[in-house]
Amino acid sequence: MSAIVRIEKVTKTYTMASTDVVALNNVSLVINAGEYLAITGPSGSGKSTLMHILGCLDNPTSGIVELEGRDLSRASGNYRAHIRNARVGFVFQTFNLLPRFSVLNNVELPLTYAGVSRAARREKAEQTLELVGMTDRGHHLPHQLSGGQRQRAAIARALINDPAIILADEPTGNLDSKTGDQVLRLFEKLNGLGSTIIIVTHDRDIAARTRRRIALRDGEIVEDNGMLHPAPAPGA
Amino acid sequence: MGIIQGIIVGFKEIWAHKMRSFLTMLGVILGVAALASMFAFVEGMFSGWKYWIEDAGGIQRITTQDNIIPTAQEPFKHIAESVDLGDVHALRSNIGTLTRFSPEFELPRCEFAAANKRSVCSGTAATETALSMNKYDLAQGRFITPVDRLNRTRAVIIGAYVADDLFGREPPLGRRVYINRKLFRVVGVLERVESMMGGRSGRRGGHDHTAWKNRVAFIPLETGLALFSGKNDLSTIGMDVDNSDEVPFTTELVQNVLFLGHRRIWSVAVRTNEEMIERFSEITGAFSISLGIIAGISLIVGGIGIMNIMLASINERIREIGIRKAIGARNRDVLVQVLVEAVVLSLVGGIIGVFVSLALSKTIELILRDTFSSPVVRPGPLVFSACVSVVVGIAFGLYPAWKAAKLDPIEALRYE
Repeated sequence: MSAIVRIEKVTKTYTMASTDVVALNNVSLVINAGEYLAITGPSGSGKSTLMHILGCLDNPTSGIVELEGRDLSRASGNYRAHIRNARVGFVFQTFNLLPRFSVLNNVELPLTYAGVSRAARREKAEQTLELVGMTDRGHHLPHQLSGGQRQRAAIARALINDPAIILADEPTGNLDSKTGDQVLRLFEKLNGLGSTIIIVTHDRDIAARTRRRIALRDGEIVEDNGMLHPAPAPGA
Repeated sequence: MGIIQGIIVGFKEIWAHKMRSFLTMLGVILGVAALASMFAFVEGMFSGWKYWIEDAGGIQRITTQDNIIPTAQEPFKHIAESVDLGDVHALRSNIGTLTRFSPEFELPRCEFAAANKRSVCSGTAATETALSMNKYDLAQGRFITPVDRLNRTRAVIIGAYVADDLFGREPPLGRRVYINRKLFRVVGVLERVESMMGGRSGRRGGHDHTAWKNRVAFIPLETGLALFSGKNDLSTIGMDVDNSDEVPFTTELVQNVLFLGHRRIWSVAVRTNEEMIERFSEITGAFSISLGIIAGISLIVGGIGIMNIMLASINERIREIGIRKAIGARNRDVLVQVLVEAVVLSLVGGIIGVFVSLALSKTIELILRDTFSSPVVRPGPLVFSACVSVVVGIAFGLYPAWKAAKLDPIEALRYE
């Protein structure tokens, strides 16, 4: 197994009302290709901040962030946008599909920004929809779909660029337990096909289904059962 | 994300909010309509005026006019002279750049009588050059010849309306007429002068602006002077310069020759059509500026409307912008998208505005019928006006686009 994400001594502080708030304190973490892991913690534990840094939405205040060997600690906005576009897939609690676009258009949106031709986009989008079991819903608008279907469309959008990691932020938070289960099973299937999936959640039942769990509290990692099967040490 | 997709998305946005988009466009529609109409109106005024100048001999024409004696020369008023054929001779032999001369004597009045019909017109005693220099063509017969002048023939060439008045449908050639109770014979009839806008010169109904060109008569110069003046004074001398560039220089020469030939008394003024064109350019310039300001104000108002609606639109779509950024849209992509939407909005408004101005010009044309000043619609100014709407879209779309582009994706995704 090779390290796909490596973060080392990452600290993130925010300045709010002239006082510094430490959201992440000296966090180090290695995630290997093909892992299926959950990041848990109560609100304010820094799990969202960690997700933003892993997902290249934000730069750390200090420390090193590497994705597939690229140092992203001080990346420019444009370069981070490129990395998000090509190497990261996001799945959100509220699905975040564009309401006036069909499912196909939503799914192929990342490829649009990547400059892929129309025909190639359409082909790839259809393949990806097939993978999530949504082949016959391509021309529907998001509001014509059920919550589970919307989330599967959102997962297809996250998958379309063959990303290095898929980051899912409370992916079942807006779903009933049955459809939530279907979504998690889809994640498990995708993980079985080789995708690296990181689920950010406060739900212990969901975390229990992943193979590795990282618990955060007050900006620090307080539990990481992946350490029981240690990955190659940083720099090794 | 390509521009074309941006345009498609822009049209979708307009279509999704039809009423709002239309109201937003209204300012641009009116502004562009005002701008394009202004071009058409000024162009119409200018072309009408140019036609008029062309009728009056074009810009190569220099004419003389009796002048009011300046106060300083008041004591010499009694020896001041009008122009006469001697001046024509002096001008011809002294100034090489003058090609043609038309010495003319306006009859103080010109009453025609034939059989029991009457007609009043402007009568001119002139030479053989008067036909072409006044832009007439002969319909029938002949014009004044040197022999007429030598023999002081009582020959008259009449305009089309005079012929209509006196003879109706009967052939006028060879008929005898009385001008101010002196017997003349009709030797020629002038071609009817039609409306310059291509339509027929309607004598029925409405104002007939070709009347002054058709209600005329010409008699030989010497005949006119002998019968109706008794002196050799002319009303005016028309001259053509061989090249329009030489007009200012030649005008000065003419002024000097006439000054020296008239005992250094400023009894004769020299006019050029160039002066008229200049003055008219000033008038149309003033028109352009005032109409342009009106158009400019409407365009600014339209632009502010677009800016306003784009700000509202991005505020509604903060989350969408966040999503787009999360999946890889760069700041530039978001900027271009919002900008393209603003430009699509204003360009559609601009195109509608161009059509509004076409309708407006057509309406004004119908009202003015075929006078000189009907608006002239040209493709260039229409395209220019539509382009101005694009500039408005860019100028007023830039701030909302910049605001959208610099949104933080994390904040934007969190926005409810």
